[in-house]
Amino acid sequence: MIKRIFNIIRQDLTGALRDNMLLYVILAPIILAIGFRLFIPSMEGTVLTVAMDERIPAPIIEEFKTYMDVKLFSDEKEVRDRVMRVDDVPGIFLSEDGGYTVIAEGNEDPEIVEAATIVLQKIVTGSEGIEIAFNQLRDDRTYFREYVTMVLILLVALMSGWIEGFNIVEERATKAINAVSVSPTSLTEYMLSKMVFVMLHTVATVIIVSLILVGVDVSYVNLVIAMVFSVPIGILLGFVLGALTDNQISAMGIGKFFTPIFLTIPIVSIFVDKSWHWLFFIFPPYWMFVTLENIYMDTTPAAGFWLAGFITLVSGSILVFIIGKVLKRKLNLR
Amino acid sequence: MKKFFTLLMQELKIIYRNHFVWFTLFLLAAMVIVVWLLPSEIEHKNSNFFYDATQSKMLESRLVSAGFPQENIVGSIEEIEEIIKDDRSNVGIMLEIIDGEAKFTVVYNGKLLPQEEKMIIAGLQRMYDEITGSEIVPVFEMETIRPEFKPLTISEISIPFVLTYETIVLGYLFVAVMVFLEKQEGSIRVYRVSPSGILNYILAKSILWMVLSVIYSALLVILTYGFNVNWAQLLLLLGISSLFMTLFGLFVSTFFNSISEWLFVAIGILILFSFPQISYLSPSFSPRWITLIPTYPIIFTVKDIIFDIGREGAFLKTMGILSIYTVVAFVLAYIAVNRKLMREGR
Repeated sequence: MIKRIFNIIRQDLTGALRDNMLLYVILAPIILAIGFRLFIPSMEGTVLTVAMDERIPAPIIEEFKTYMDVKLFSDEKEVRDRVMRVDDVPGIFLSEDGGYTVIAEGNEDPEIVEAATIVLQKIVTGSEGIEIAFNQLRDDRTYFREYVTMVLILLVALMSGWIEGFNIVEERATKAINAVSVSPTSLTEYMLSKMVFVMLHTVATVIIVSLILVGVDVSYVNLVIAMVFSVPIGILLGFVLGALTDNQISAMGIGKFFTPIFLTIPIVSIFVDKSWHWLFFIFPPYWMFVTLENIYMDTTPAAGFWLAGFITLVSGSILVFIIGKVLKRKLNLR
Repeated sequence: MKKFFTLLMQELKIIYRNHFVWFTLFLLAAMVIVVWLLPSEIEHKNSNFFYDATQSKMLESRLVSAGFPQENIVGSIEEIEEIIKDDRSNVGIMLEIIDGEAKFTVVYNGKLLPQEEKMIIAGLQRMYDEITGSEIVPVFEMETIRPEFKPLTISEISIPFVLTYETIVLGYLFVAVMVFLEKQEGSIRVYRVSPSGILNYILAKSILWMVLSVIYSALLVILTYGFNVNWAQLLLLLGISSLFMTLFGLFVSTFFNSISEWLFVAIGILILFSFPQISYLSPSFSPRWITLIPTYPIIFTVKDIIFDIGREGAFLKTMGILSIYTVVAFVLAYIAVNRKLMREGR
């Protein structure tokens, strides 16, 4: 049995190397991780922007630049045009009577407009007087880096399953599957070989992605265990595509439908209060996300690492078992 | 023209035979249900915590009278530090009086930019002036261009989002799948020796997906928002957007031999195209590079049209930008199809 599984893995590996598929599967998430790594610092420290009339006295404009990103415009009309653009940028212009007018479109975040008024008031009146101390506790301000890492790991798992699904569809379309069906290989062996193959390159990819994004401060042993737990969930889409579709257009249609479910539910759970998380309990990708939260987050997830991992493994395996029944009929395997 | 229509019908037949209509209707139903189920608003958690160490409790009474959540006012600096340690996004502020002078301590996570630090100082100075009853005479006048602007509900906000990242990208994904199908079935070799020409090949594919994408989008708008939109502007914008995405998808697909090779790169590009979502949800974040991504003007202009925001000239400007992007995508697709797709396997 082991030998037959390894034979199929070897075949998949040969095909993947020949088609450069493995290169793209591993390289694309790594490029994305590098891109995010470069992008995240600009997300964590955002300086507000204000549009200013260049007729405003230079010392005021210069002082404003120490608070905000200042965009200068030649007159009131240009400031108005800038304020009317799609982003949240208030403006300040000199009125005909020489006074200042702070202008907003009306749909901005009120705090942004208020910030511009507070700074203008402070600069013009020069009010000072209180002592302020800053006490920084930790290096990171947001969980953006951790969430990006977790979402990328979900994406790697999903895409690997999707690609495996396309491979099965192709094997069916080109009748290559017939060679497997007349061999002694059983459906269990066929499915196990696909799962092991996906697990191997998924684990390798997510380790590199994680190293790029968060470094060595997390448990990579737990990450490998989490990915092993998540293999059935990751490959599920592949088996669904293989079982339910017989060409690539249908596969794309079904894949396009399942992808938001797989990715959106965990992402939505980030923004939903913990007391409502029971709504997500029936979705296996949620448990995969909770397993990853135990690795990357310092907050308290809905369940511990082992419990969440176990639920991910069991729920994924049940679904794979169910889809296996359909796959058996479609692929004509023993 | 006849060749073009023959090709168009041929493409239509292929996607009809492959149950595309059913998948799209299924997707449409799912998207409509998602938009319907979204709440009108999500309550935001206040991440600012205060500790008033003054004897008079002047800060605390001011906060309470202003309706600040009671659970965000705590009893010690240790408690504040615990809360800040517990969640990185929390910020703690303590006020104390030392030798008759007020002193604020800001407890936070992450590095503050110099501008952010100065903004906090200005904000706390203002807060202190307010709680001590100092007279604040505004040195400016305030003008709001459109004070009647009604905030959108979460489900309304999601409509431009779904249109930009679901219906418009339909052609981007499916045109590539069709190219790989043609490669696999060998029909691309047959096409190569037919008299139909590259222009008809590209036009038949891109116009077909543009039309399907526009129909899908229009149904979604009707079912989630209704008929009360500027249909001429909306359909034109959706049409040119999906035409651009389809041509761009065709261009990208020519560089790959199989769907497995292409998929990760295609999704990577979609992730890049999804960055303007951040600006859409948080409009104060709009660095120059994000505004250059084609989906940036698309998502904001779709929002302007559907909710009749009436930003003067925005529609024409976006159409102009998208026309340039579309022409570039067409030229790239033409060169790629001519030099790569039609010469493969020779």
